[in-house]
Amino acid sequence: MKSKIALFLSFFCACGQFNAHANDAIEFSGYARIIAGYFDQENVEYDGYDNSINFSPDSLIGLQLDYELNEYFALTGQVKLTDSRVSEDDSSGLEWLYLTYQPTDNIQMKLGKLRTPFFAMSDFSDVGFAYPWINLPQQVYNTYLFDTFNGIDVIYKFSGKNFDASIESYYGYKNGVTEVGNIKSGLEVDNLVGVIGKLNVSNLEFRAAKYSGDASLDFSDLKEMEFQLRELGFTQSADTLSTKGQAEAEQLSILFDNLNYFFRAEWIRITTDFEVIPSADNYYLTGGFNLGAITYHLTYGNSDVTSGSTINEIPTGVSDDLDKLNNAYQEIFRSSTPDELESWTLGVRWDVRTNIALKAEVSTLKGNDGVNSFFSSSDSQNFDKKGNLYLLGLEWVF
Amino acid sequence: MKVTTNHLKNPATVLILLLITMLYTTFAYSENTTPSNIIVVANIADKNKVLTKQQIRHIYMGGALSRQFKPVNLQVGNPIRVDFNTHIVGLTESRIQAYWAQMKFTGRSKPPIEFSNIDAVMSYILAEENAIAYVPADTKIPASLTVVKK
Repeated sequence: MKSKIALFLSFFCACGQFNAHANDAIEFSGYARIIAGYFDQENVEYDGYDNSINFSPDSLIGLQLDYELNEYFALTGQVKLTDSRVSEDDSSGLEWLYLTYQPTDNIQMKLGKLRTPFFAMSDFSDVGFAYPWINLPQQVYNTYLFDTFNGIDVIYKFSGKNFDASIESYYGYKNGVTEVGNIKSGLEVDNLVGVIGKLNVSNLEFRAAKYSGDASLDFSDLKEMEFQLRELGFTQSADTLSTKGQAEAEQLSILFDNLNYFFRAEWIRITTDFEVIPSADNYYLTGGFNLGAITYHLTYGNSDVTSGSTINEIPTGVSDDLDKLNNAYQEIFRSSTPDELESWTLGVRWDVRTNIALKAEVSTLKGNDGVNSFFSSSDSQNFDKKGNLYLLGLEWVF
Repeated sequence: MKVTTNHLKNPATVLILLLITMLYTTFAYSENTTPSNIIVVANIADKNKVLTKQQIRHIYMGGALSRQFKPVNLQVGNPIRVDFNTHIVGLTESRIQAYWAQMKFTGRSKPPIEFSNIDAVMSYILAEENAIAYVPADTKIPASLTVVKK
């Protein structure tokens, strides 16, 4: 944390220096959110919240520096500072660092470290001011995908008399970590390819996207187990623990908003070649209305997760060693088991000023019995996988 | 950063109190329902050019034509801007600000340039080729500008 504060201060000073020689080419901006949360179950954590008021999981500050080199080129850097719990896959806090090239009015290219625009709000999930919720629908935005990648992103925009559209594609690679269930593993993704289509007609926006990548997990427990099983001749079981394969994701969303009310829905599907990583079909639906500067909204979210199947190849009851091996093998699948969650969220956002919003929301959460459901409990025997999350937030952009 | 909360037994109470406060404040705002009283003008060579409401909306919201044209805004709170937001963009100022936060911090596009009054807007678009702006319908439009939407 101290090093982060130092980083923050040096960044701020650097920006001050720039401001001293202020001109239009350099722009400093940022966003911040202070979120207080309370989860009403004992001995259980949900998304970092428990039954004491907690500020750390989602409070953060982001700082952006844009430097316009000329009409065609610009440089942008963005850092994010959070409290000690860094759930992100790299601790540098550097979210974006890229060169933008706009060769024509319709084409924009970005090259460098970028946020992955997997789903409709993935690449700005930290900018709470940009959306109505405090916590984005967890079924879609708390999956085991990663936040950033290195590569190139190209957007082509076109329009007609009654529509505006864009096609975006990106290519790159990723070295980081991923969390699947209770398992945390190193992750490498090569040939990450994504295509996103967007269409705006009147006050409706449609978005459809598809991604794929060659992924490789660096998870020593898994590798050891795979090696051990192979040595002992349990090759089928060993194959189910393979740490290399392809991962794919698909997304569809719709957004309607006008002066008085809005509607959003998003569906995602994640599939992988890995037996230990579950496939997921997750979605949410949101409706809301505006009364002056106040927005009220209600969201229903659900997930349907299918885990890979284990092979019953290891004989049980023969020897203690084999039983232990089998237990360890089964445990890997148990701990990577799907996060299934059904939730209702009722929230309100009040735009106090043009750059400050206050938010409050309450979510009722219901996990499917027998799976992790985003909760982590030290007393899983007595926890019925139900709970309420209360959040209060201040969102600020500057 | 943790605060234990034995004294705050029920966070729901806090939430309900906040909701009531927000609901009360809501009625302090009133919606602008008057008919539109603006026209849209541009500094372009084609004097017969007409733009649809959709095209103008997307020029102002970072769409495909937003770099070809240079959209100009009045400052937040200006009644002419409220008229434009209501009748052309079809979104509240809050929603527009949230949208620009998204665009800005994902490096997709930047909001239109802003001026504090119509005189400043007019002198900018007269000087800047492809500049486009909304102005009150009774504004005297110089011959060098094109009215692209009445």
